[in-house]
Amino acid sequence: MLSTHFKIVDDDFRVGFRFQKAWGTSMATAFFFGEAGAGLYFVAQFFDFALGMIAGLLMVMLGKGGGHLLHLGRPSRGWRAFTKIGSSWISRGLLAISVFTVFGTLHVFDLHTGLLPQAASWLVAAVAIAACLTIMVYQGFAMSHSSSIALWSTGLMPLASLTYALLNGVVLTLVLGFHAALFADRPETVQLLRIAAVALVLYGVVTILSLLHGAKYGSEGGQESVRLLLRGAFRNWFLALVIGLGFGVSALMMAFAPEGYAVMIAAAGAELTGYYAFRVLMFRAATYDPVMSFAPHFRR
Amino acid sequence: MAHEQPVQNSLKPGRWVNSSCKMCLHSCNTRVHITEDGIVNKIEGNPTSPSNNGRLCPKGNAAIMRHYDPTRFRTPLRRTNPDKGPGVDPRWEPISWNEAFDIVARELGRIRKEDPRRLLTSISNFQKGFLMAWPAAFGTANYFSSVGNFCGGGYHPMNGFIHSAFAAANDVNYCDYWINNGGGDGFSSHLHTAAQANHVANARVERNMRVVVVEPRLSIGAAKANEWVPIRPATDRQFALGLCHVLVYEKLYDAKFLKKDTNASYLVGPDGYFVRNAEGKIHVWDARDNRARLWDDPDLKELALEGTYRVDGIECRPAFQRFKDILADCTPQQTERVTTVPAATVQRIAREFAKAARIGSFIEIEGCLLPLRPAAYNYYRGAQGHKFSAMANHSFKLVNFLVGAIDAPGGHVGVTLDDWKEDIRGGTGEIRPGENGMMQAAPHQLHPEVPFSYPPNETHLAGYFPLGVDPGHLSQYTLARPEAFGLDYRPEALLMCHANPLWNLPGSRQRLYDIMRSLRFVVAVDILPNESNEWADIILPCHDLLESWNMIMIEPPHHEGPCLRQPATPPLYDTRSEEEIFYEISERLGILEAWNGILNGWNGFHLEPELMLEPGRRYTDREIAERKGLLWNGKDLEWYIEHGHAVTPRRPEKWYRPWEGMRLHFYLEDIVRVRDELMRNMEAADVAIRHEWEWYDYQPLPTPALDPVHEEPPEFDLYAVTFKDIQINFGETLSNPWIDDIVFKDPVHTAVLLNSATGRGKGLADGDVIRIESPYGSVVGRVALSQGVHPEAVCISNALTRIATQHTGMRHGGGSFNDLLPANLRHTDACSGQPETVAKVRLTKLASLPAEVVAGNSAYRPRRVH
Amino acid sequence: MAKWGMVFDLRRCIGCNACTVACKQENSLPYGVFFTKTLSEEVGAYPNTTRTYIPTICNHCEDAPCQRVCPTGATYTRADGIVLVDGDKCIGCGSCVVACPYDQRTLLEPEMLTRGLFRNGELTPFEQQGYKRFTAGTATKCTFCHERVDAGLQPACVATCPTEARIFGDLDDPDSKVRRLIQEHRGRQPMPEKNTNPKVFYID
Repeated sequence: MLSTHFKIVDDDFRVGFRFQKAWGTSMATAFFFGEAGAGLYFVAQFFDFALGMIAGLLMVMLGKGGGHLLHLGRPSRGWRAFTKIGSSWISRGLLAISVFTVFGTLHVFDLHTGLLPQAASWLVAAVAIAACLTIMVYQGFAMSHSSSIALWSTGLMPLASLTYALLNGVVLTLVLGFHAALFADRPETVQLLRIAAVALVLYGVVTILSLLHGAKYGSEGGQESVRLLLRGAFRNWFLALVIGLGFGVSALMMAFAPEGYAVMIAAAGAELTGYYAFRVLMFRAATYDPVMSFAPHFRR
Repeated sequence: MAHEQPVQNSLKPGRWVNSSCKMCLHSCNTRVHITEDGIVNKIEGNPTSPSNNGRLCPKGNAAIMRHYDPTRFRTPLRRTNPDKGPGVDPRWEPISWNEAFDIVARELGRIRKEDPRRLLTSISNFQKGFLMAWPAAFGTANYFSSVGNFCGGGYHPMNGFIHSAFAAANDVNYCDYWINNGGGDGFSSHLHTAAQANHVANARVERNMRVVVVEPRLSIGAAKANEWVPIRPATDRQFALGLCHVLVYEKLYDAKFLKKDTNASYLVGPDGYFVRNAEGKIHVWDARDNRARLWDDPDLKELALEGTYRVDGIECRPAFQRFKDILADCTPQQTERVTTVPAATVQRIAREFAKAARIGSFIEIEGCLLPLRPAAYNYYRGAQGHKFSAMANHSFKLVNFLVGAIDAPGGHVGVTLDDWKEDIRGGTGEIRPGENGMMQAAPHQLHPEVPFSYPPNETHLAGYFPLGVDPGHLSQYTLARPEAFGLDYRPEALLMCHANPLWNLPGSRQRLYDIMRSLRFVVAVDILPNESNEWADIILPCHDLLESWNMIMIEPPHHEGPCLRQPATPPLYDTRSEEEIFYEISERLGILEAWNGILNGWNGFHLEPELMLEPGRRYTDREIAERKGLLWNGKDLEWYIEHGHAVTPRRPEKWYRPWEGMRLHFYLEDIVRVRDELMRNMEAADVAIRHEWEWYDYQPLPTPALDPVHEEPPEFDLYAVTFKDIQINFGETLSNPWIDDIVFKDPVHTAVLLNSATGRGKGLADGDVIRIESPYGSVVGRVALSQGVHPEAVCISNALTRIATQHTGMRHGGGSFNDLLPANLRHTDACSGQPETVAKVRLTKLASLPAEVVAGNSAYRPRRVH
Repeated sequence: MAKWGMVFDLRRCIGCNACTVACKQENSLPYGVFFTKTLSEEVGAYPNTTRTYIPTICNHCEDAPCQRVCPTGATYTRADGIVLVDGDKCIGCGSCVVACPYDQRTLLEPEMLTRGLFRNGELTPFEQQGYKRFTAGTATKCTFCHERVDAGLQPACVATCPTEARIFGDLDDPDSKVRRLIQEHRGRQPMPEKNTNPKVFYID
């Protein structure tokens, strides 16, 4: 590990790292529900699994929407966030949430009642998927839209979002669909989803490690963020929850554990816990680089 | 974005008023913006002022938050809680002015009738300096404060001796090699910081002026300097003498200057006095004719600076030779042992200094040919605040003397306190010829000499310090064993104005609290609660800097001319001006005439009879301010209201060699004379303490003797020093939220600073809690390890030294630094009254900060840990 | 049309933070909110130690990430290059705060506008006349004293700096002091690798 000259300086008038504080727990929770809900809808809609799709829609509308409204300084003006779709990922995300909510609900309704003609039905489903996919990746784009925070400023961030969203969707589908006729009759579907979960975990581990790798060598601030996550104050949370529980335990259970509702819940719970910890820690460990330093001119 | 009004305060509808600042001693010119609703919402520097050029330091920028501080005293108050103590709630009860004055007049009147000496005073309003002379009208010289002597004990008398001035500075106009020793001039503190910082920055950047800073801590000045010379605390005098050694022994000195413009060639006998003939005229040695002559002999061919001679059978040497003899023990190697500054550094700096001084060169300034000596050694509290203070100040002056840089362009120059008139260097800065061709020395810069008395009239023994600045700290020493001093009375009352003696006095807080509790009556004239006025029985609230009138010049190094202070708003509360308060009290006590007489003298009104205050009348602050303006340049108050000030660059004839034709005091025979006179007086009066009096302190030339602080027991292995920076110097600003905002985010003000290697050697790490203990007291604090601290120093910012008061917005620290200091004769300069300001300490690691230290609004607030 | 920029002369800065307080005065900033601040850094090893003082401020970047990420258009750039926040449009999402590499933006929490500078729940008359400009929950930052500049004045921090360490002017004017200082002393932008093209330059 490279040694870094700088320290965390809070709001002191000193050259050093500062933590970002604008995006806190309510934002992390909103992001969590965003990718969990959208991922769930995405996976569920391949099986026309209505319960899953409804749960996904609710998670996005209430969990993400509600979390965002709680986070905003002026929630009553929230409608203004539609105006900058041309440049802002937040804007684009809001559009996606709105479209997803409308078209996703419509699709579920259509599925249940067969209301729409064929072509319209396809269109509604497609638009819902597109909006859903957007939600699954845009949060990563929003975080990496600026070079400001080395931990976030990576092309891997949207991929991490996508990977987690798919993984969340898979485990949540396995849980919610356990007792549904859908899976009860098709054990090979369950098997497929379990393998998908393991594959996504593998992909996710590599993505996360790559993300940290890039941050560490990206800037001093990134180096400090990674140090905090792997060796510093957040070490226990990150290694135990994000890696151990979120990836390790869930993958092992998906691969080797016997069939059982409790098993599914435990595995999903582990994965989602790890994912929530990831969201929170990405915000907590994010640092700004020092604006300017003369340390390189002087030797200790 | 539709706003009817601007959002930026200086642009909102309203008016600007020209005024001057009072967030510290000095009076930078300001302009104050008041909205149409009468709210002060911006204060800026006044761009028409050549002094601060529209600029202001952070304190001046924070004045609005003093004005609107909710804890300001709003009416006269009476204490209802009989208990008194640090942090104890006085339970103030509002009373009328009449009732307040009744009580004050009754208490003080009784004292005045019985024995006026029983009144202690602590009046520190420098901008209305005439108030400091009020006790003379009352009949007491008792001064219960360290203001003036903690930082300037030896400083002011020595400036008076050498320059006939109050303060001193380096001439930034021409200086090329600027040494700062224990003083922050031009960077962080002392004279008109906002102005000086501007001038010094320009000199450094535009003229490449080289700056060398000598001090134990990497201060702001040291950070900007070309070279920081770390030095062991309380050894600055020896550093200066080391420089003098090199200058003298390597013959780098300005011999012509010493011969022509100083008394360095005057012959001194073995008793320390000049060798005089029967008429009192002083002898010198003619080196060409090899015989003694009188100093003004027209046949004198060549003055000798060195050698040993006999005159009328008496062995004698020129004063310069006496100094050279002393310097034999001040080699660079010896200097290194005492100061830890490497010998090679001492040599190099002396040689650089001499070379930069360009001895022999001249400059023409406004048609006048003057010696050019662009090398100057400046210094202030950190360097001179030690037991042998007079000697220390003298040694710093001598570095300048030796290269001819006294009052020369580019050199070390005198700075007056308050010139009264344009056409003379007035006030106490006036230059007068003395005896034997020398300039009249003027060591009494603060007030006239306090006469000798036994039993002593003053609890702080001012009558035994004929040259000194009031040693207010000695009161706790004498009152602890009054019989030994022959004290025939005890203090009964204290009057404070714009003062905080319980913060500024060195020595034991407990002893001070004992004194406070022993007083029957305490009255304070002030605007905000502090550690001291919360002991008062009566508070008389006065106007603040935005509600009052004043006219003051006060020590601007490079400019002259008074600055007007005028009200920006009517008084926010039921307050009165200090003038009105003291006039009311004076009239009730029957000393109105005496008070007006003193006011006339202090303010110089006696120089213009039509301005004189009539004995039986009372005057407002506005009327007195108007007179001062008229006295300066004949302009009336309307003119000053419009312009705000009459500040101009100081004329060269006022500060370059204003003593031309007279000889400066290289050798201070006056000190020897004063010592012997005091000895005679004490002998005649059979003063018991004359046997413990520090007679060695009276030296006509400085010696390298160690200050007694170095002789404390060896287990106290480090030196504790205190410091301030520009946000908190020369005033009380820690209660101001805008100052709090910037001070307690600055790493040098949030922990006790310790050298990294020293700290690690003691097993300490950043954030550890320590007890800092001297032979006299202790404080606690949290440590920060730093590479910018001398290995033997422990640096405690003034920001960490407050005690919790009724002003809960002010953060308290881990105890008063001054508790670490002694308050006794051994550690006081008998010559100047200066107390020792450095303490030898030892450190002990504690598990945590004591509960009372972290309670409430603590400077050691818990830090978030990641 | 001018293109406003600033130069910090690190040779001159003494870290006094008069600028910080002047700005608080001028803009009626609540407790804990700063539009500018001067940092310090101790470097070297005893006795070869020094401390550098580094003023920081919103850089009014030419490629401002805060403007790019803003979902409502509240953050925008004037024709003269000053980047401003329209408090009426801001929804307080905080995207601009995390997008600024220099950490120069603040979200105004409601408590900041009610607790008061003396932290006793009461606002002084100064604060009462000043806080009207702020909307709780929105983002705020340095405006290069846009109103003072429009009136032909210098920004408050520049005007008050005792050592003239802050210089403000038109970067497009070849004769302006800022241009000359940047060219003569190789002025550099803070963290140029962040690709925001700041209009604040440092010289030493």
